[in-house]
Amino acid sequence: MSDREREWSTRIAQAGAGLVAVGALLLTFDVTAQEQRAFGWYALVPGVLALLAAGVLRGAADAAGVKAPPIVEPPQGKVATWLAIAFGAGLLVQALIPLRYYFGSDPYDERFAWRMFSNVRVYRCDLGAFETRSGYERPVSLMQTIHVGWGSLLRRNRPAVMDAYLEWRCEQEGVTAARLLNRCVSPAGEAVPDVVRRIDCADGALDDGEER
Amino acid sequence: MSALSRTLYVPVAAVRPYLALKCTLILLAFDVWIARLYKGHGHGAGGFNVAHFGLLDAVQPSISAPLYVGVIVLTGALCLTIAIASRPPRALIVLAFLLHTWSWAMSMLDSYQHHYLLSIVLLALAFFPRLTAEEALLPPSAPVKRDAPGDEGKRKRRKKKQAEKKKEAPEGSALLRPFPLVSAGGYAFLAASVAVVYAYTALSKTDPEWLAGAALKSVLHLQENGMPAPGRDDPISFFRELAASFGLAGETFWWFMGHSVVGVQLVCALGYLLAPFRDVTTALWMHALGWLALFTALSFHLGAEYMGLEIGWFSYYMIGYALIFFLPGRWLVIAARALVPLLGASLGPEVIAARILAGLVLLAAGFGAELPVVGWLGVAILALTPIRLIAKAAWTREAASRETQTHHVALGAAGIGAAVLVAGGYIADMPGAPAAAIAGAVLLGAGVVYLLVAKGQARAIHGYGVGAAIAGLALIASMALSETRWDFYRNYGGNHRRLGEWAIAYHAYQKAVRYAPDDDAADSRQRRVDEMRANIERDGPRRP
Repeated sequence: MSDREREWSTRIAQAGAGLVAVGALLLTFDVTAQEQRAFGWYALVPGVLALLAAGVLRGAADAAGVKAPPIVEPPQGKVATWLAIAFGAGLLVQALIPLRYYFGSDPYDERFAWRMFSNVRVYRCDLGAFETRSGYERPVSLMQTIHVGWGSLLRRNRPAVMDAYLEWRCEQEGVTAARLLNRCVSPAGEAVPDVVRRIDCADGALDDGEER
Repeated sequence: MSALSRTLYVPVAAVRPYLALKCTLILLAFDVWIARLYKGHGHGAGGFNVAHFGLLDAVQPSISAPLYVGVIVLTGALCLTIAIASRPPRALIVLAFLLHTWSWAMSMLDSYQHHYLLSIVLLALAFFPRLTAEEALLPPSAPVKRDAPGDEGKRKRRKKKQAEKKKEAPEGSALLRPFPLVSAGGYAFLAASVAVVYAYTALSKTDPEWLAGAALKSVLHLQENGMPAPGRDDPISFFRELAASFGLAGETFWWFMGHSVVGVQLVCALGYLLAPFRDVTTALWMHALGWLALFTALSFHLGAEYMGLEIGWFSYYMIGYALIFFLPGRWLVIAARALVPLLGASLGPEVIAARILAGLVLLAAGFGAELPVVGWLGVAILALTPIRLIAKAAWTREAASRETQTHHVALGAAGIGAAVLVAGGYIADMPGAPAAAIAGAVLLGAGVVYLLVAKGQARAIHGYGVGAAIAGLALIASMALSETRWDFYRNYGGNHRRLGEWAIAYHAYQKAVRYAPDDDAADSRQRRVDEMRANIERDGPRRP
């Protein structure tokens, strides 16, 4: 059985390595031509997955042949089953959480999506805060109102922070409405839709809208 | 055994989970104290806060700087104590996980994703095998079977058997003797978790602006033409010159960089997913992949540090994990045998020689390359080596009499540990630190009572006592040798000055003056203090 697994693993690994090589070649053409045809990814990613499958198959077969007993034995019976379920569920949750970003409607809240230094993170934004007192809307100095760290999060269009800020402003005496306007450009210099959040303090109703 | 069991519980060199556990906890302790503690200056400023989870907003107490600092101090002390304790219970690692997770989740002011990753790591560590240094590093004997507290007879018979086995063991270099394997589901889970991070990072970098290099230019604060602004250093001059030697220049270079980042992440993800098989596989291509993943991960994270990307201590964790997961088990065991003091066991004079050599290399490399942490690690190894030799000699000579005094010594160690920890909390001179240190001492006391009354294990208390004492001393050293207090108080003062809280700003600026670096700005700092005092005299404690 193990020899057969090893043989299969070798074949799958060879196919995977071939796909990776083809993918890398196609992506090299993209780089030199400065075009994003992206066909390379369609070969490279399946190639990587094939190498993964081959590695797991081979590793499991080789593990069965280990003669030296481990100093801590693996759990047995129900404990082993429950632990396997726990690890599997843990991994599944970790794999699903970032999908919330990719299939969600909010392009700005990148928390838990492993998008460190993403293009969204490096948008250059100009934030304006306004509030209405005695019927007149005036700009607010965020520096004198809120900690500078919250200003950065507002500039990143973090929805929970924007809503909490607006609700917090409504708690201040004399404020009847508040508004945030954030105007951003992408790293390539392209303007993205403005983000506007408003609150009417009378009923606490928040409305959002991207307008240009 | 099923294929799933063989995959999940694949035997790995015991040194890997042992080092992953100890290194993570030690690094995390210093990370939270040196790199994160000062960031508490903004917590609760102006009475505004948003937690990462709505539920937390509903149940947690009002967030403030002292609360944040207290949680951070306690997290670090707990991590360091359980890193030093011989075989910490899983419950303490879960407690460290909860404290650390709350430290970042309490406020969105902390939005570093690697803090979230460390929560996952701590959770995985709770499922790691509980190994002593001796079990993880000494040549294998028999599978570990835990004795019930009263099984003295069994324990003695087993020790006798092990002693006989040791006599029969083949002679050879102590450093190169075989290393033990363990089945560690938590280790495989951690490897897969890290792989998830790399895989999603790869996905995020397939955005057109990343592939074309525009986002990377922005991250590096370069101009649109990819060059640094006049008068600024080029953070990627090394890579630029290296690529130019292969004919990659101009926009092609940026396209190459953008695409290669995705490739790097994919290699790392694949490497981590297959890393648990590193010690059992005989496939050459899998060993080659391990080396490729090691090289790729190291070049990526060292490159990130070289380019000055602001990601806290994330690179250090990932460099450490790359070494632990991808280096051959034998290499890790040799290094660990040379560096880690082993209680009541001798690996021979070559280990002591290797330890001294490693200490000297770290000392020279650390201070030579302006990495004082590495240099001080070398000093610590050099200092510990003779201390351990003396302690071991004393241990052997006094073993019989110590057996009867174990309870006294254990309680003494716990008492000293608690006292040093509380002293550390006060000397740290940060709001919330004394309360956290007292909470830590109470936790230590509760643990002592539990171990004595419920388990009757006096000897286990030593490690916690020593760990708490070292945590207290390390806290003091972290505050004294870093600019944490200066950064905290000047920002704390600045926040409250802008918000018109003159009295709080005044006291913070006074502390900032005390902990300020020795530079030419002393007069301007004192002017801030005077300005706040004048404001208090004019307006009272806050702006009207």
